[in-house]
Amino acid sequence: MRNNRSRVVPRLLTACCAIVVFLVPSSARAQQYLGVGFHVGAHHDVGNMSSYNSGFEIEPQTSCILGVSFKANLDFLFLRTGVDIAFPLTGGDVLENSDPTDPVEKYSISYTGLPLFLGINFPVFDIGEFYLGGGIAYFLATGTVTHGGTEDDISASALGFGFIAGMQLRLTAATRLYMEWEYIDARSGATMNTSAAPATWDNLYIDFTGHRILLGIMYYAM
Amino acid sequence: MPCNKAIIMRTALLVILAVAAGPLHAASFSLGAQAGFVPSLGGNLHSSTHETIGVYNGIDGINKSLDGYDTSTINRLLGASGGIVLKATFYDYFLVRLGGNFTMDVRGGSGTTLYDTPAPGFTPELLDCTYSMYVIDAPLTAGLAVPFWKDVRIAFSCGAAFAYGNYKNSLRPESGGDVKGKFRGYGFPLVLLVEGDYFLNAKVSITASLAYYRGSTDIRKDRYRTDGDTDFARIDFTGYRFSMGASRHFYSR
Repeated sequence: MRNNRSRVVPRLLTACCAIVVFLVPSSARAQQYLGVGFHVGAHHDVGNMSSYNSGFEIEPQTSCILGVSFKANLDFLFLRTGVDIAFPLTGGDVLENSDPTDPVEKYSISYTGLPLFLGINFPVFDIGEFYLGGGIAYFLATGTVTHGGTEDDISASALGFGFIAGMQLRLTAATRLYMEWEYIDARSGATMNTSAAPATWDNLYIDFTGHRILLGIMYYAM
Repeated sequence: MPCNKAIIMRTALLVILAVAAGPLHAASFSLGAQAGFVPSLGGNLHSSTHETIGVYNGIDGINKSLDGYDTSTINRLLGASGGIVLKATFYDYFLVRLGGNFTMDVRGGSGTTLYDTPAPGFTPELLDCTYSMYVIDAPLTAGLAVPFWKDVRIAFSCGAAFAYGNYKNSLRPESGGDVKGKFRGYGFPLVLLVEGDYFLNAKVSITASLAYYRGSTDIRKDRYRTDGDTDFARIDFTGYRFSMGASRHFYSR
């Protein structure tokens, strides 16, 4: 049941993203300062396993992010939302584990993030703009964790808080190159048992906290 | 001799005024108010009592769940902050900034989890947990400000803050008893700060700022004396702080 849900949810989200991407630009043309962007990015140390257990010496997981963003500008204010899908580029390894009660060996986490930021634009002549905002993000994750020789599926969700700092560089009248730094602080509740017997409770949580760097192109429908 | 001392004092005063007169003449000042939020106020809020129930990373690791037990996730604290900001900009590019902020938790920090009682074998029991914290801080930073025409000014500065924190926790097992911790203390965390001003006109700007604090108090002893437990913890000021607000600018020239 959990496996089916973990497969269906990302597919549904991907389908929703595709619908939004193709439908919003046409309706956005009626509004003045609405941009639709596509970006790639990276998130290093997904899961923060050394923070989860200080007895772990880890090879951190690095994920690639593909996403779509929507930015609405209203005078000096902006609202920035979107969808980010993070795929593992390299899985996480626990190289040394000095905690025999929690025998985690490997992990691989994929997640979808739905951020929403509100902030202020700082235009720089006609070159582009800096912007700085704060907000929330909701995460849905699936993945696998190997512990004690067995591999189990994991799924979790979390709501987090953070900020975005970015800059846009004007390429043409309607397109801009953008680079963003996002930091979100978010952790799920305990969702999986990795404790050695006799403990049977769920103890492992997914930590989505981290810095994300994004690079993309935004089209402004004027 | 008193006469010489007076002459030295007057001369020193004149020198200070002469040196300061240049920058002050070329200075602009602003007074602003900001409000914002602090994710993970107090970090993981770890204390030594957590280790007695097998938890070594504070609020993060305390969460456990098991079928048949009614648990709820205990999240890190989200702080809401408000404060005032005084800024002096010299020769258009050099910034000195003094702030005063009050931050308190508004979300997270309470829920029910499980712990393994000292009885033999695996004997989980429900544990109600509550965490709260507030911080009063005054960051003093200096740095550079880059104006873009008269519309925008972006500043980067660094320095340190005086920060006073008050942190409380309570771990209450279902079987009774209430282990509490109460800690107070101050520290001087390092501060990095990026701030932008968007000028609505020559006198008023809208601001957004992002600050990173790094530092904590030394290890503080629990101030509760009646719960039979002596706890130890640091009050951690490390973390990001995002704020938005408005400033009123006063020009000396």
